[in-house]
Amino acid sequence: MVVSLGMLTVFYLIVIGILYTTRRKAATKSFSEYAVGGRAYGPWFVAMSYVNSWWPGSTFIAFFGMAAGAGIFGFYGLAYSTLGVGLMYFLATRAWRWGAAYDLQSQPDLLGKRFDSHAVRVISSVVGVIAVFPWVVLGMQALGELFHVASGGTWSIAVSLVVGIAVIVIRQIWTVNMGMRGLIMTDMFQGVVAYGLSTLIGVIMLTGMGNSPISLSKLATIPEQFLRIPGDGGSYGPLYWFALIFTGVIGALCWPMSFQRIYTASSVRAVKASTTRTMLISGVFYTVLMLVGMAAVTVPEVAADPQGGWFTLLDQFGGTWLTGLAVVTVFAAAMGHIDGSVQVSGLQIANDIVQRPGKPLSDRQLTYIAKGSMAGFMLLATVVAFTTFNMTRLQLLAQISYQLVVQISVPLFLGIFWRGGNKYGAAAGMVFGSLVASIMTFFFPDDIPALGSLTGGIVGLAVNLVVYLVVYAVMGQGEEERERVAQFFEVAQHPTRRLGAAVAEPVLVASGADELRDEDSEL
Amino acid sequence: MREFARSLTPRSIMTGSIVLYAVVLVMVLFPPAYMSVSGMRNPVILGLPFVVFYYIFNAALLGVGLTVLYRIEDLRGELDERRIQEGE
Repeated sequence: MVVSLGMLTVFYLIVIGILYTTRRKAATKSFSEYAVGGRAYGPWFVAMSYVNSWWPGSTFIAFFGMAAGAGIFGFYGLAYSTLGVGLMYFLATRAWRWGAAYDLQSQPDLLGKRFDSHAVRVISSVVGVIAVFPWVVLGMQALGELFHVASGGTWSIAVSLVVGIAVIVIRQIWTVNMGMRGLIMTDMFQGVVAYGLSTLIGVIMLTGMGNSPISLSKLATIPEQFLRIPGDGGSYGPLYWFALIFTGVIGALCWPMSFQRIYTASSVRAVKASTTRTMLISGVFYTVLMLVGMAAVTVPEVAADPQGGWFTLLDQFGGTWLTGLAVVTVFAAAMGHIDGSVQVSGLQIANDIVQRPGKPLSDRQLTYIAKGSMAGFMLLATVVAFTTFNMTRLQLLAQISYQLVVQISVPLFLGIFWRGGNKYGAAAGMVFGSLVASIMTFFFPDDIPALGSLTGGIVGLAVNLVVYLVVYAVMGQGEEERERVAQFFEVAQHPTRRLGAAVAEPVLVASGADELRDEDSEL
Repeated sequence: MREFARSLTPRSIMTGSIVLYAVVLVMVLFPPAYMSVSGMRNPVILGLPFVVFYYIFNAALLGVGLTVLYRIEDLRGELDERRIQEGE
């Protein structure tokens, strides 16, 4: 107990130390600086920040539990995350140039600009914030479980929950105060601990060194049932695997945290380089974690409690010290995910929901509202985390939220790659798609047997797409709108320099412009 | 490598990228493809049952493919906004 809690304390103090060091270096106080760190970050920082916002602490619990309890099932996460992150590469140039040209701060900001519609901007922002909320609550509750383990089971779940929430709430003081800059700097440290350290431990265990309870050699002999994809026999239909991965792929850029990483990057090069590095970090980490989980299916203690398998294995491997490390890795991942979620939610509430067209708020006002929104968001999450602890329905809300957030993908992807569509179809598609997805997921939380085990989100997506296309087919685009969209796409054809805050028109790079910072600058 | 990268046409690069992404997409998402490897232990490759290797291979293929694409775009000078503008 002393070792685990001591290691957690040291880790936490280092994070706070990094935040204070970073705060002294923060130069300007513009909203762009607060929201996207002044678009100043190089590929490694963006990559680690993306990985942090991508994998929550529950990766070591829920996803690990899938591999340890159901084998190949866990690998669906590798498939969807690789394909999803890869998508960022293909839309990097357009999305970044639009962001830089129009000083966009968020994903709804881009949608609002693309469709020239405040309603589209608000709807996509509301969907994003609502979808993120249950995951923050679940993350806070997972910290309660974490402190229960860290205390060696001597603290009750209730006490552990109070401590876990208190720790993460205190951490948000700096998230709220410092915005994206503090987040990205700590993401690097948290990421190295969460994903680097766990990968190293996993690789060592897989070699079978020391007293490792597992090894790679055990994988070739695990029972066949662990090699069967869901839908190949059993209760799921053949489309379940497709639905899981497809939702993940298109959802990858729908999560507000993911898309915002494009706008923190210093250049198109930084976005593309960070994408390849995110795939490397994320792919290696997740693959090793899943191999460890699969190799552990024959360990009786893990089979009895697959979701606690990461802690069980490390305890068997290295006793108290490695249990402490296990706790710290999960804590680091959980903290990174919650930080990113709170930050982007506050940002979107201020920038996309509170701010009205024709009445732009000053940088100071936007920053204050974003900070207030983050505080409110965290307060609400704290209350819900306490009141819904042990409620299984919260897990259902999280499932609905995932099926909900992918509804942004129709106007987002079609809007970026196709000049067709209009604001009415975009707004109506998201609304109807979200309603259908929520209702279907409520009645069929996991899958819809009559549809070959498709999920509610896929049905919602189909409705969303049809509405988008039908409305466009019926209403079309006016001449003025066609011209506006053509100009919008024209901006993405040309190199664009980063702008400061509150600049509305695109500015192309002037030859030898000395404002352009080094393309490869890290900061 | 530099000469090769510069000899490619934008259309061939785009086609290659789309084909690569589509191949991986089909291999992991198309039901007949993933069902055909479900439960497959043999051949065991690098100590991994085939179905496990299959998913790791697909992820690696996309990761390596995009890294190569990045390298090609880099060698062609297509990643730096200032250089593109100056026509370097």
